[in-house]
Amino acid sequence: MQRRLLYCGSFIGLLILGWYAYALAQTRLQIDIEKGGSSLLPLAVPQLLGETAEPALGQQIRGVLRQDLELTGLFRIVDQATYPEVPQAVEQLQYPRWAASGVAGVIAGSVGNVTGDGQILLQFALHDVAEQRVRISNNFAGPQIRHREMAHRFSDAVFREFTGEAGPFDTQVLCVSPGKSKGSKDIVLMDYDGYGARPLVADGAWNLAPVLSPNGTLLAYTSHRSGSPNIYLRNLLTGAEERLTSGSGLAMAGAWSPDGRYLALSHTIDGNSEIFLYDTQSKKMKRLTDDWGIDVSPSFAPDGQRLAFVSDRSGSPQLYVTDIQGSGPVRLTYEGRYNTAPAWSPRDNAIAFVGRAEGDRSLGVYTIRADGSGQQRISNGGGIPDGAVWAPNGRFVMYTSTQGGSRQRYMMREDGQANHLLPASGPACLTSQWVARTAR
Amino acid sequence: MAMRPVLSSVTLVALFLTFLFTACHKEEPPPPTAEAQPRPTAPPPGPPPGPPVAPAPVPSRTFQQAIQEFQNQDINFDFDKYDLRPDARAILDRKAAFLNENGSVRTQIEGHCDERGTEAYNLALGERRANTAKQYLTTAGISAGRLATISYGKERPLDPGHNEAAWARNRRDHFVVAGQ
Repeated sequence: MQRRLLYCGSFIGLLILGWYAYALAQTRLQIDIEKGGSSLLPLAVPQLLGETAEPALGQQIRGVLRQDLELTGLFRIVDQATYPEVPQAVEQLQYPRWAASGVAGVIAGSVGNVTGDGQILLQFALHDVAEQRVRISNNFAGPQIRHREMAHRFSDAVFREFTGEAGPFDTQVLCVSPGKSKGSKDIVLMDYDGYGARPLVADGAWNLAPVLSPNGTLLAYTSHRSGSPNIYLRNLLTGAEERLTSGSGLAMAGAWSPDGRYLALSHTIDGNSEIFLYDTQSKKMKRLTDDWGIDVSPSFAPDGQRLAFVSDRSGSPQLYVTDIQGSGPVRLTYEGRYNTAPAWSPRDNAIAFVGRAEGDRSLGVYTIRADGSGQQRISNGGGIPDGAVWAPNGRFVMYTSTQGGSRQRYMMREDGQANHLLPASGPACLTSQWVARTAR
Repeated sequence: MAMRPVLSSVTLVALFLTFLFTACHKEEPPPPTAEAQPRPTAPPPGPPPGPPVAPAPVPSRTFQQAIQEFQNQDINFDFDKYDLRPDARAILDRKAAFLNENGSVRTQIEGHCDERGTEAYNLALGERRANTAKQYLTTAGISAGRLATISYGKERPLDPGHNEAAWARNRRDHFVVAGQ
């Protein structure tokens, strides 16, 4: 009997302890990214220590932090004029004064010259004003030309601290932009916000449809350089290149399998475009589709077992899902007569695509679940959207649209909230893939 | 009632095309004489197909002008379609006649789409459009080796406008003489 009471008592005690921990966690500043955005978390990014010696650099670094965090639609960077102090140390704040100013968090930092040969040291600390403590701090050392990358990485750290998920900022976008000579198109890799653009393929030919393997080393793309649109596979580390397809028919890479072994592509043979899997180990092509309609734009599911693609076998372009054996493609979309360019979310919860539902006046970016349920339009603007791609964390969609007159890049959350025009810092381009930063 | 104007305009178009066809047919000199200088045209070899055309003053033309005409006339498609409309067939018949008469001419057929679509699908659609015309011409007796194809998708609109008229012009096959 006594033993039973003891058990019971400790059980109740554990319950109380658990509830207390839960309550504590609740008071802690957190953002539920599924629901977030109804009220923006106010943050401050005051002047960095050492910024007076490097005013331009300091402003750029704070500009990156502000831009990154505000694009999420979860944070608001409070006007600098209302800041009660310029922090005198990275890890020390006059918390009561900040609390009085209504700020929830402060990113304090310092910028210093390490060696005098173009190397810098950046220090950041995220302060929780209510808890009066530093929640995270990071140091970055490296060449000054990479200061944006360092700032993006701290933005990611702040995003993770508040949401519990990987941030989308220290990432890159693979895209196709007009080349120097008429009709040519270059393949360009640049930071998600358009800075740091560098050409991967810029040979004066019309290049298109690039996709990078998961480890960032193999670039598959289509080039017209031989006179016909064939797929090439270039090893970015060695520069070695091979041609995967031949003939005059249109060949376009669509997606790599998550393990990097298979490349899903479309290829027109005898006038008929079909979906194929290229196995980089056996170097063999396997045909997945077999019908007389157009079959293009394969996109891998994160499980590596299924693919979404576009086919007009029903008389209009629609999304279909098949497995890597090519068995029984299942039609996914039934709304409207134009649904194309599927992109399977890395979180596996949705497939983004560009379509037009019945009664829609313009094309839009949509999402739908892999079982065909939950179709919704997530872009609101007019113009012609294209190139919808997922952030590596699966929480944001980037796309291009002509709604502003010319083709520009936009970014929004997966539900269409926080739709923002991205800075026009990079070349005008059609987005093809959003990837984790690849090694330089 | 409502059909009548449509029918008559179709007839008009057909008559016009027939006229163009006949004019072109008459004026082409044989390829070996292909030079950029004006030449007297040969008399028509026989009665032209279709309804008789009112006699019109025949301008003197050169092979180069015939090529220009061949290149200047696109065939158009309906939205998201790649099957040949009757007007496209009529134009292709003329192109087949030109190619039959000028056996050394090779052509590249460019498939184009309007801007309302995504890149990859539009490229595939443009390829179908080019291939459809190629197939029609090979059926009409032109060797496939003389007919190259390329799809530009929505890359190279003929009309930069963003309206129905521009889109209709941009959904096209364009023909370029690639060699003689």
